Amino acid sequence: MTVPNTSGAHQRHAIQLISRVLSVRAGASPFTLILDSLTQRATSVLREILRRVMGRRARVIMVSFESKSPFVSTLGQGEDGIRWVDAWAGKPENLFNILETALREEKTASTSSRTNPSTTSPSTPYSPEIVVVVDNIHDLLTHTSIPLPQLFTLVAGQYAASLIGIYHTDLIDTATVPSAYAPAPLLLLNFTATTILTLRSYTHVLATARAQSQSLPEPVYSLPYDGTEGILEDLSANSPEGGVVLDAEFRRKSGRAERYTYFLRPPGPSDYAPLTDTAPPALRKEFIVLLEQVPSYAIISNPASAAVDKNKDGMETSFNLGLTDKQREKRENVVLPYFDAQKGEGAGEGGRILYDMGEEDDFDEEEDEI
Amino acid sequence: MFLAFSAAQSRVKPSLNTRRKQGIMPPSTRIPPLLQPCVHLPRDDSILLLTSTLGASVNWLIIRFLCNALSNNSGVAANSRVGNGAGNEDPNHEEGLNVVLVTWMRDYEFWRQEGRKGGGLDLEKLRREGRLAVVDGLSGLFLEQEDEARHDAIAGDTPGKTPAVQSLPYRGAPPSPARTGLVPARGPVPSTSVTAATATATDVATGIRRGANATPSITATSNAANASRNPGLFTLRSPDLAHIKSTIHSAIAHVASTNSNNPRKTLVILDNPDILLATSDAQQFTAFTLTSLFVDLHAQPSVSHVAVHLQADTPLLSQGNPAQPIEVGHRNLVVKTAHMSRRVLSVRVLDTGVARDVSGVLRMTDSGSGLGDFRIGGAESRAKGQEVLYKIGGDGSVKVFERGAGGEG
Repeated sequence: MTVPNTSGAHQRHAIQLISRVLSVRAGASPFTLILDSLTQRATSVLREILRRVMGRRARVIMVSFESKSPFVSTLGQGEDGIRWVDAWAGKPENLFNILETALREEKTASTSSRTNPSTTSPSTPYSPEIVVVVDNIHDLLTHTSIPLPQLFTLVAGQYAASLIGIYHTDLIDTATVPSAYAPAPLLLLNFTATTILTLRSYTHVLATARAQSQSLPEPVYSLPYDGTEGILEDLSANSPEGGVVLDAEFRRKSGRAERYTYFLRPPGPSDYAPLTDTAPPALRKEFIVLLEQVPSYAIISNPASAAVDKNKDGMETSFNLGLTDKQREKRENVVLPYFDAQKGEGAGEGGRILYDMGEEDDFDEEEDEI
Repeated sequence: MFLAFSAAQSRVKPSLNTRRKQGIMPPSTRIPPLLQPCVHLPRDDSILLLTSTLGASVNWLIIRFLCNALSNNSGVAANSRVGNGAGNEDPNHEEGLNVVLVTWMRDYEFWRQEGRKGGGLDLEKLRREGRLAVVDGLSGLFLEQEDEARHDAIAGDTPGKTPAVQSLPYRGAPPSPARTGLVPARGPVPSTSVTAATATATDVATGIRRGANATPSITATSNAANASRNPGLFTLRSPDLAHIKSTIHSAIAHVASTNSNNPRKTLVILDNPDILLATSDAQQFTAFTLTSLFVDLHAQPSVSHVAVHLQADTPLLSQGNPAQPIEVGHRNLVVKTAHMSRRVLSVRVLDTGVARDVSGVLRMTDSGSGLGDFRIGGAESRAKGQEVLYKIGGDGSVKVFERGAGGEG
């Protein structure tokens, strides 16, 4: 596939790439790695992914190390289709079997609901796709006995499901003695993932861009905040203004990588179809945009282009400095005084003073001779 | 405007003081208005993280959490005061919550006195009513060593209890009057609680010894006697993860069962579980197992909120070269718990140095509701991150003000 030339087509291409990843379209990205930190947690992006996945009636298996199921009932309205695996409970060694059982059951559930939808539920049948989300893939790799290749084979190979893993970049790898024969988990994940999303708080992105535009040192938002003891989270962490910046890297099958930076704003009521009893809301129109398309960022990051835009509009005054057509026409017809004198008729001829005597003028020869 | 504000302050003050003297101040009024959004629990079930540093203790904040949860109309009072609401109304909280306080760095006696002094709470009464259960992780696990040493070296002239008391580190307490005048602050301590405390101590002394001379029957009888005499007071007796988990589970079941006709949700407060990383079996207690324990407690049916207090000093969050296991473990514990928790409340000393009229800075950050909230638009509503200064008075009261608004006394 060739990358389009015009900027409009370029934007459409980039947005289509991320849209397929966020909706977890089959084959778009078998393993999406989300890198988050305390400055921008993955919750809002993951919630957006789950919302889109459930809108398409795909099944979700949530392997959670970090929270209990937030849903009171597993079949409640809106959260239908999320299966919660409590990875924090029980023995970590059993997790692989639990996951395999969950995948098998979900697979049969989705096939049976498609073959005879009337018996299982009155709502729209489930799509055959399954999405497996791991909310702390570092813990999965270090504390359970599941190696990443085995997990990937099970999820993406055997059941053709998509895997989404979240890695907290501010956690330190607990393998205190790095093995000489195995890479660190993050390195391994970086090599394996087909899409990598790195999350940043929009407020921090703006602050960094502002510092760059003024050649100031960029602010640092990472633990530990040196100089100030006892601070764990920045006040502007997790985008208090709303919106997350995603640095996305897509690895194509050819091995070529494409990188774009996106801005995901919180969804509004018009972005999704209204909730019905039978189906979760479906996405109406894609609302993720490239970061450069966001006006408040573009003004800071590229002030030159913003200045050009301003000149088009003219100066900002309370006066109207423009001319109407009639005014312009009259102004062009005005003949400036002494215009004839400017016509040079040979050397030394220019610059004569032409003067028409008026009635009140008194001709004085002597004065003229001086 | 500032004049008007200070005038209002001075008008309010005398009435507060007289009420405080009479001792009829209800616990909910011990929470200053600026503190309300921090202490008021979020509407949905969530984990909260409290962090402190060496110079700034978080005990006063834990007392305010107790006040908010244990007062009967906490939710209503807080909502009317918060005003904006922001999706914080919760009918479940109108009745208040039960509290299970698991304490590793302080004993029950400390919390009882601090609660009375700073929060106007009678923890003893609340415990007998079944609103509160306390799991003591200090005296059973750490003070026994001293007792054992004393028993072992009984022939020598070791002065007994004194090293045990001194080994109780008074962390995070700058020499403020709130701490120094702790024990004799409010006249004579009720004699019943003294006997109860000594009974617990002797139980610990007799029942804990895991040597050859401590038979299981003695331990069992002392446990049963302890349970009948002190309902709602549990003691951790072994640094074993399964034992800790089952003890806290029984404490949760205890508060849930006593009010079975009036089901309240339970708030579990874990004070300094990070001590287990440093003191206990490093194979058993890692950031992974401890955070799994937090989620396990949160997943108990009656538990709605878990508040975890961890240390966030810079040496504990940064690594040396090479990184020590305790440094990595502590940092991962703090960071992962922060990832798991909806709200982070950090207490630290004033950045600009020691000031007479400021005890420290409290920073609150709220990351919004968790994954379960799929409401469009509503999911993003969350408390605004803010920083306030606080001053702990000599009488245990706390004054909370914004930057530049304090300093009047």
